Amino acid sequence: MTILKHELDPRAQKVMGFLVGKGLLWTNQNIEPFFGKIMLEDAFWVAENVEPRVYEVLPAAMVHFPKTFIGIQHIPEKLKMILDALQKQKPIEIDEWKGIPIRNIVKWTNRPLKDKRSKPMNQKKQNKTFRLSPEINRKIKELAEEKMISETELLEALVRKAS
Amino acid sequence: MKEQLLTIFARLDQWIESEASHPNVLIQVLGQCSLILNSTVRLPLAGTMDLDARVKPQSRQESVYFIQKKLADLLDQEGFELDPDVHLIWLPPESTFTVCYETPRMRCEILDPLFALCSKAVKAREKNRILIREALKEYGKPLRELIEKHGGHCDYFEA
Repeated sequence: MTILKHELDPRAQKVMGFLVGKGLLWTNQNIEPFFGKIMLEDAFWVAENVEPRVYEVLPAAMVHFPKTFIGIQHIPEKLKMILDALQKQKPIEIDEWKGIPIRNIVKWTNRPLKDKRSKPMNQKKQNKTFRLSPEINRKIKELAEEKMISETELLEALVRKAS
Repeated sequence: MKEQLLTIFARLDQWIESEASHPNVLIQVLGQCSLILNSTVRLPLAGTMDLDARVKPQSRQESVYFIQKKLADLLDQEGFELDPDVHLIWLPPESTFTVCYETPRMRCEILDPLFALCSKAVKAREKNRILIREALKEYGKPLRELIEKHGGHCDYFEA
């Protein structure tokens, strides 16, 4: 059943359209998927006035699709801290944000999305820098070429074998 | 959404049938999904991709662990998650349920809307303030009385 009781505000059409289109929310309202840019202040307005669950999935949307959101220079301090921790996969020091338990916010960043392209944050590769001797560096390159895999894949395979 | 959930229940039912050793099961859907599955509910709804569902054996003593696991897998394939914290959800003691899917092996019930809305109004009012405001217009006195009976404050939603 589709509810057509009242026309949704255009800001809600966009924000909800984006979150529903990405598989972060569902709704029974008549909302077209939207994949354009979103003003962050519009997302907050929708969370305050239309659907508070937007707060629950907004951090997941922002870490997966940072270029979608405009106006992130005005991001509240608490949300900035949450996003930073989610990106770095570090523990978050607070229990809730806008009445939503942090574990729920984290949960939605670690689930595969509808587009099948966005990797869950807890499966994303992380940077690590080493200073290796030229000999070892050369050896890694040779072994990777020999096995026709990338140097990262070679190192991951060696670590898996050793553990 | 509603069709997707009913399809998942049908797939679970087929799986139980193919695995003859499993007990008959009762699934009780709570929360936002109980509202979307109820064709009498005419509220604008939105929800995250988790299903609050209690999975119980129809006769005591038997384990439904594997059925619960299968349901979680089937939900996962469709982008949903079976909420592991469903046991923490408070329900009014007088809550009633309506059957939404039934076969000889499996019975799915949805929590009736007044009780689902009362539970949200009393225990998670911030997240549900807009929904409850709309629901108070739709359901009126019976919902108001139920919320206040269980310690909720309707003024919060109507301010």
